[in-house]
Amino acid sequence: MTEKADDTGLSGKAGSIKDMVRTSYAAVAQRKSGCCCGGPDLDAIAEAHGYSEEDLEKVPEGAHLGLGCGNPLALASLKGGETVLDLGSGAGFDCFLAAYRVGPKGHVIGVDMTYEMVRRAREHAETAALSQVEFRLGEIEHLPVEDESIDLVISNCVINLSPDKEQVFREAYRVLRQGGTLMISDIVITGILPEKVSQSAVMYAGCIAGAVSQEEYVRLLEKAGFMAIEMLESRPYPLEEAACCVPDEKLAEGPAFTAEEVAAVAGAVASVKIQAKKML
Amino acid sequence: MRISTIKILCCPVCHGRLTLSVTETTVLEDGEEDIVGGTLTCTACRVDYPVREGIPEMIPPGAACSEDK
Repeated sequence: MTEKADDTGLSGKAGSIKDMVRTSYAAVAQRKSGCCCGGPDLDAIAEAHGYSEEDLEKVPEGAHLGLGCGNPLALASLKGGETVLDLGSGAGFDCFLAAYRVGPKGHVIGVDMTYEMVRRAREHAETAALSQVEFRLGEIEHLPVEDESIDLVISNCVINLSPDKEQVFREAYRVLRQGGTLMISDIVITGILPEKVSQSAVMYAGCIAGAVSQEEYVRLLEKAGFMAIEMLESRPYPLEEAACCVPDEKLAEGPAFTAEEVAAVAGAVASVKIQAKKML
Repeated sequence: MRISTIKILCCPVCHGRLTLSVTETTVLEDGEEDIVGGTLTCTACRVDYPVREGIPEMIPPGAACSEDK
């Protein structure tokens, strides 16, 4: 039997995985700024993810924690007055950008299961006087959102964290209006992960160990009913970006990865942007 | 939470409609009421979801919560 990493906290039970993710992101929510793990700075991360300087200037300070892996809004067509739902809204960064796009007559709803994130996001919304943005404490597998009430569902580097992705896509499909769009930035596995990485609780929180293959991702979307599924972008997702999603103390407790393991991850993990439609 | 957005909220368990009882409100800049404290109750399965500090807590019963506030 292969020896497992010493941070193996993945029992495989959905509840315990959720608790681990929630605890991890609650700690990240306490950060004053974003990634403080010695990785790339926040502006560099944002640029790599496709955000403009203007985007960064517009949003309330502290709303961008560098926890995404792309910019799901960049290619989304949004009109004034529309309703947007963000699955795993964190400190609210994408919600605030969406709020400017839908204007004061639109609605943006962020759902996140981590109380600390939701509280921080609401504080930012109040500071920015963006009353069209609201946040709910909730689970993306059990959305507290009415059927067919949403024009655009976005999510940024979150669905990989769910132990039940099929249920997440079913729920996204349920809440979308006919003709509505799902636009996701997320992590998929494109190669073979070293076992020390795939079994690591730290790397689960870091958005890698819970990710599925691109083929499986598309299969689950199709199973939920989505059509016109398009892979719009794909780029490598290196370990140093994953480390930004993990609190420093957890990183310190986790296993050290060898140069070979770091290189293996670079070749086996991708950040993708996926669009899918709920057809009329 | 804005009172107008209750129409797109539902019970996360059974997707039933919610009723709201309010304990604390403020008024937003545009004149709409913002619910700061209260309870959302599912009319179908009768589960209560608290609204605290303006945040509806819509975690299904039985799911662990982040911490006791």
